[in-house]
Amino acid sequence: MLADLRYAVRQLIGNRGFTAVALLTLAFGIGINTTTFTLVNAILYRMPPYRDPGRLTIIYGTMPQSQFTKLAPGNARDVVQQAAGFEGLTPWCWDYSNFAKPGEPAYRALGVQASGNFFSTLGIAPSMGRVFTPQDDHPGRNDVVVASERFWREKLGGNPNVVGSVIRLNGKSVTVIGVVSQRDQDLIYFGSVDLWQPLGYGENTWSKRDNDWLEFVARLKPGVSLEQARAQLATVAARMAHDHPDTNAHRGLNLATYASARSRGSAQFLWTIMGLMLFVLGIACVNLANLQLARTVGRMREYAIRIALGASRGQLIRQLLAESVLLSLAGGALGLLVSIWGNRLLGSRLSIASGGTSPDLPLDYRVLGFTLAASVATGLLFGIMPGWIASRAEVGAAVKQGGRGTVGDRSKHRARKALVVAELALALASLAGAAYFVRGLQRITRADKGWESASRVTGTFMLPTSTYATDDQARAGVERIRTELAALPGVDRVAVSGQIPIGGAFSHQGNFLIEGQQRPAQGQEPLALAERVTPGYFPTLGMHVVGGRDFGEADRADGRQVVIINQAMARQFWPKGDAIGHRIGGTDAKRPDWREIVGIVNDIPITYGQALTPFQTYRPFAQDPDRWLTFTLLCKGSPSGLIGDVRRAIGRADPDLAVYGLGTVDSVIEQLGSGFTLVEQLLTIAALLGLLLAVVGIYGVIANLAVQRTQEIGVRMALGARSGSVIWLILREGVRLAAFGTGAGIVLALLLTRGLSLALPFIQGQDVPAILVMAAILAAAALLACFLPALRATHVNPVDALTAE
Amino acid sequence: MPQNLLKLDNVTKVFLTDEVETHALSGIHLEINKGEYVAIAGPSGCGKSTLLSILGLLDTPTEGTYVLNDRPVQGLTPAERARIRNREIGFIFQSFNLIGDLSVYENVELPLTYRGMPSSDRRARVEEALEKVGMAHRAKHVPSQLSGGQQQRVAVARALAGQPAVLLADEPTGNLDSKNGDAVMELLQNLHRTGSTILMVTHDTRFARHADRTVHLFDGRVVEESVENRE
Ligand SMILES: Nc1ncnc2c1ncn2[C@@H]1O[C@H](COP(=O)(O)OP(=O)(O)OP(=O)(O)O)[C@@H](O)[C@H]1O
Ligand SMILES: [Mg+2]
Repeated sequence: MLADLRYAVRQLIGNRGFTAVALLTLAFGIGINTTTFTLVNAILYRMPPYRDPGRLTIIYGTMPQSQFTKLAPGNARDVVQQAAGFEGLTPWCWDYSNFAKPGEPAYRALGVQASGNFFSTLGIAPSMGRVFTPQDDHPGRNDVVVASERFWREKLGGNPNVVGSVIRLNGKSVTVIGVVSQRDQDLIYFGSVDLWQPLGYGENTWSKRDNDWLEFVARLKPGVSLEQARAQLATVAARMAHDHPDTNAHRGLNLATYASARSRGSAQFLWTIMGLMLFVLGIACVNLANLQLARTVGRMREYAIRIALGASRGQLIRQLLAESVLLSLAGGALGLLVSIWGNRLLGSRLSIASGGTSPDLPLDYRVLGFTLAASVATGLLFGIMPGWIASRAEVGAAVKQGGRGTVGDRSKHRARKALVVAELALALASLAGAAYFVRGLQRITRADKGWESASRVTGTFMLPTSTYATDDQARAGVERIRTELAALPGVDRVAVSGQIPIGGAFSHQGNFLIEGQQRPAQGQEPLALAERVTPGYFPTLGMHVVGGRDFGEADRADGRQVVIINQAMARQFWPKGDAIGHRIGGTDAKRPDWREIVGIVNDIPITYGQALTPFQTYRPFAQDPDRWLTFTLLCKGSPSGLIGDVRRAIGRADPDLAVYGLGTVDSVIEQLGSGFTLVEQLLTIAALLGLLLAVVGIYGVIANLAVQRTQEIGVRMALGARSGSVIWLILREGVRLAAFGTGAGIVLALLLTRGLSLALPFIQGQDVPAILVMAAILAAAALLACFLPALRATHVNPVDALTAE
Repeated sequence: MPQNLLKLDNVTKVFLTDEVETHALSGIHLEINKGEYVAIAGPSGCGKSTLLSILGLLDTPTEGTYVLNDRPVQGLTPAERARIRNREIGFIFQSFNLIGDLSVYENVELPLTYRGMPSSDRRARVEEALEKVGMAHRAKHVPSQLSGGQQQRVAVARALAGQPAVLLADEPTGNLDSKNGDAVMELLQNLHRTGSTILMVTHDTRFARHADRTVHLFDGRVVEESVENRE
């Protein structure tokens, strides 16, 4: 074995060109895979930095349409009081707050509001001061805040005496009681949280059951299994459904480990990308097998002599495997270097939850294990076939080959040709994989989305309940903002809504009833997405009111309660086209709140995620004010020049308001897609790398073939072959290989994209014409690569060729 | 007076390698008539193969003129040279140089294929050529299934198939044992009797005696021409 290794090292050093090409191929192939795996590892396998994270769980609500809903406070409180298998039960919710410092634009801080036991449930200790406790979690006593290390450093000046100082959040004074170190934050699950505050809910809030907004993290008692805890939650859910049928019929509770919740939605995606990356490693592998095979064929006589001297096949194979594994281990080591660089690039491009903080992408033991495994597997894979062929060297044949007066031999090349075909096929498939994502993202961001994004500016803001406590105050605030924005030169239209339907997102969803129709069984009521909008919303977004009327300024809080529905809903429930004038309402039996349908608007396709329901409804903002809002402007000219004016206009309306995500709608869409863009780019780079490898591969084989046929070409020229026929002689092989390779590639690509569409239903990027175009490009590139050696073959000097040994 | 089939006038060939000039041929005059059988003899390195390459249009002289069939061949394009090689010249190599991937039949057919001849005509020619060398029964075999002597006979058939004006043979027996060598020589003699023009390079004076005359080369020059005395 040691002798094998020593011989292998000597071979590799002696063959610098081959070794360099192989190392480079391996370094990139393994490097790009290691980088991808680092991401997979960081998101799927690295445990959060909490104490005993295996016992952490997430509790979800369920409803017929979804297994992962939030909880209403009343239900959350029942869980806290009744689920016995947990030692910490903590409802929490997101809370953006406006952090204002005199003389600086307001900053929109990402906050978490949680029950008092939040930090003890997770098992986090502060790096400075203290964290809040249940004693802080009461109305009136919750004016304390724990800051993240990043917030403390960037927004609080890194003041070492920050504990006890008072800052202003949403126009209210709160005391900083502690700082949590960045090490103790789980960016993957929570994102880059700036601030934590106690919920501080009073009885009034805690008793609400008709609005789900709380998330729920819980720690199992030691020894309690997930199954036991699930059973307990089922009992709690059954009791809630029994006691509060209005709100809780057909609703349940769902329990997931923290680790699985953390990767929910991304696991499949990440594994798919990982799989596509492995394609590229596969191409590298085939390519190396090819190079190695070329060397093996050149050394056939050596192997024949070894066999003549008594080497067994096993010994020969082992010797070649030693060489290839040694090579791939060295390549893997270089790959690690490549991946360190790749991770840095990836980390800088990857921001989690809009916080702008990159998650840690460390090379831990799992990543190192992956790299090692990938290297060894690669080495074995690309070494086994040449080794097998070498072991079949026939003593007699090898001696005869040189001695007899014939030139050329078909059989030796068959394996190499098969490898080139495989390589081309894999390259086309990985190109198709990358194209699938590119096209899929295009569909999400640029397909007909039911509204227009061009020439539009948007921004979100929150009306803090401290200054906008009543609905009237909120209405007045939004009115001021609308007026200021509409007054800007260059602005054509202004609308305010909960959000804009990027990807088909709506702010709310809820079950509804139709007046005068048989009430469905409890919990079986139809579901609709809902948005609150100001007058002018539809024209501002380029949507079309196709029946009835748009909202107007007359749809006031005290006016008739009205609603506009989408075409799908009108078609479903009023197929005769008589929806206008009918009334729909919520499912709460005690408060029917019927609203009259006054208009029908076009559908917004849900392009991101799964559509829970095709039904969409809109209500006037004035009749149901929100506090989390988005404004949209339709501009007359270029929208980008307006951004500064918009910020100043909002400042005139309320200097304390922080505007977040201000920019053109197109840029916001692009930003949301940037995670995908990253994936796209990564896959595209990988696929192009695969293409390059495949083209180099076919070039190598054809060039080698041409060299091996030099003597034959000489004979043919002596017999009167013209350049054209010599070129065709060599090119013909290339044409055949390219045809087989792209043919097999097309089949593989179709299968792969079909598989992708099943594995990732939210991205649909099948594009058969694109696959055919890429196949044509691949074939053309392959033929071009073959043309060079073919052309060179015509320069063969027949005299030299014929006299060469 | 018999007409000249090929005529070399003051032909010189100089190889330049690594700044070293090798005068492979210097001032060669050579005339070969139709139907002649000429042997070229001389020590190793004296320029025999080089001479044959020039005669076979595989190489060009550095100086001097070469007239083949009344036609000067300097300044022809590669395509024209290929055409002449194909039609006027038949090569027989020391190391047979059959193409291993092709059958005996296809090997012999090759020069005709390059000529663009219809396949029915080719068939007749190939069969005739194989008949002449006594290899017709092996048409479907591949070269590796034949002995060296048989391979060389196939090579001769390949050279004949195109009905060239001249057969150029570079030590056709060099890779054969004496029995096989004799057989090939006999074959060439028979071809000569039926009218073929043959130019053969050989070391073996025994074989040179078969020829009408022998041209002796030494260090790139013709040093002697001897005519065989036959009754
Ligand atoms: N391509 C070439 N480049 C440089 N020198 C060459 C080349 N071909 C032949 N020579 C030289 O020209 C001289 C004549 O070579 P040639 O092959 O014609 O000899 P030969 O008479 O056929 O010898 P042999 O009997 O060994 O075959 C030799 O000195 C040889 O080294
Ligand atoms: Mg010679």
